[in-house]
Amino acid sequence: MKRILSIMGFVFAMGSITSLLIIGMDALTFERILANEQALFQSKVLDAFDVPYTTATINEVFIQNVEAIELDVNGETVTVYRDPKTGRISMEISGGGVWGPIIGVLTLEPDFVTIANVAILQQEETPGLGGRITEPAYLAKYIGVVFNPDVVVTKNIPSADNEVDAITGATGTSTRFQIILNDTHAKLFPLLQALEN
Amino acid sequence: MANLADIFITSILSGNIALTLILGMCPLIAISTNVKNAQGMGLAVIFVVTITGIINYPIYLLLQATGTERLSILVFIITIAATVQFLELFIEKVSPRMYNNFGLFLPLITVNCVVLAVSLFFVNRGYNFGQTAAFSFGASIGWALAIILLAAIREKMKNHSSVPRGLAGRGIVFVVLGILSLAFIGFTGLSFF
Amino acid sequence: MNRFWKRLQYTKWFNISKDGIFKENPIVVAVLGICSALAVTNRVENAIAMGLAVMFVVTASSLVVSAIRNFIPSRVRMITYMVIISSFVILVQMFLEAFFPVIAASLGAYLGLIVTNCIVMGRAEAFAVKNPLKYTFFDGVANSLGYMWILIAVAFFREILAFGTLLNFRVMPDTWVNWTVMALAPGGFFVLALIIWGVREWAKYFDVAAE
Repeated sequence: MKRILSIMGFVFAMGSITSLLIIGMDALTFERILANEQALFQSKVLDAFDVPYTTATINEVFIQNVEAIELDVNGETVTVYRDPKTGRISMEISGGGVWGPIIGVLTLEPDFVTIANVAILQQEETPGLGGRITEPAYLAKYIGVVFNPDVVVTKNIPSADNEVDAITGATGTSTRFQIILNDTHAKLFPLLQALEN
Repeated sequence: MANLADIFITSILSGNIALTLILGMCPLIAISTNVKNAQGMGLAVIFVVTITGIINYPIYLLLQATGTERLSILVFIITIAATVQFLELFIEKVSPRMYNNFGLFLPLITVNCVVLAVSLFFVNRGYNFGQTAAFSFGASIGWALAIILLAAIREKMKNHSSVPRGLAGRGIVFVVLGILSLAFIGFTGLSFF
Repeated sequence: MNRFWKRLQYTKWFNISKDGIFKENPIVVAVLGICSALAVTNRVENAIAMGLAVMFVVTASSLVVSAIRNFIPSRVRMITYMVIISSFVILVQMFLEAFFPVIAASLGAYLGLIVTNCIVMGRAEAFAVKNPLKYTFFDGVANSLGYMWILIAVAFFREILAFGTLLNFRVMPDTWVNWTVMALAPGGFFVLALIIWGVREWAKYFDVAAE
């Protein structure tokens, strides 16, 4: 009996000490982690708007130069970001990739159909194949592509204004990324147009 | 999102948890010296991974609801250890024959990273319950497939090949795994749906 | 100098360190901790981050186990290790997410999987629970250094061949064609097999029960 009690006491003591430790560390790092995620998103939007910033001042620069607009998509609130100078609109895009979620930022020209910029925040695609989706050289291929009415990621040489070159050897990533882009655009395009009027 | 059959098949073939995600290597290498043991270990893994995957999903939802996702690793590990312990006792009581076949491998599973990985991956990939179940089952079948294939190859190699002494034993296993892995990645283009 | 060297070789901590880094290297000799050794080694920076994270977890959890080794009831030994190890892993995870978010993102779920890295558990059970604090410290550091240098060696070859870069600096000529296979699992297996071969040939360590 005494042995069982001592085991239980030990387990209990260990449990409380470790939980306290973790809760303490969580309290210390929680705000920083949130701020990091926010700063990453803000940096991609500011990059797309060609607004200069430094890591220390990013939040102020973002608040001063970017206008946040809340849209109501069937009861769900989606925030998009507008650059008052150029009229460009940035929005978060997300969806399933091959291994895990792909999350990024899509920026459109003021006509709401031409892509001004695409950036990736998070992905877990195959390194060397689908993982190349984060390379600036690849993402640059999306600039100037038009949703007409969709974007098509093609394995052939792009010939129309809505076609983009796929990543060689990463058909899964390419098709899923195409779906993510088109879904987001289809969902928000009517609302953006309504906003304009 | 990807449908259930797609997740299931991918996790067995092109996304094989042992050969393309490189998880659960320690037991894969240690227990693949003969096919019989490999089968036992494979079965035990299918059992434990499927069950813990399904149990951990509601637990994660609970943690999420109370805002303590941070503790998920700790909680998952405890669930896994408890499930393994329980299964061991249960199988020993219910079917001693089954226990002889793979009960011995159960305690080793607590430190098999496949079990924890499945739980961590469904969190990372944001699966729903059905997808989690399909993924847990598929991933464990994939792992069992890998260990049985590897064991069969090692059994044959024992008699028919002369491996350089520096690679003999566990070294050559990595070369075999590399070739198997190439073959499994070849399934990537496969799509049924 | 010579005498100093001779005496050094007979100190316990020197031998513990040597065993951990070379003679009983956890990856090459014991073939433990392979999962993370291969899964995160397609870039050198990931390998270094993983190595440091494992070093912290191994050393810290071994020290704790060693400090309370006389109080751990042997029945709940394993689960005690697990709880201690996972707490430290959670701490590392939060630390990286707060201060090095890029590295935390690229290590992904593999960071959490340090919990089941057999090296951590292995050192707790094989060394820490039987030895006093100071030797445990050397053992933890030495074993994780042994783990880390193999990781970096694997990542070195894989990053150069797969991306033509080293720590993200371009080292290969522009005409270099990336070997994508090196970034995938098979590349890891082949490179690790060659490194194990090399180290064993050099250390004259062979599997006795060669099949």
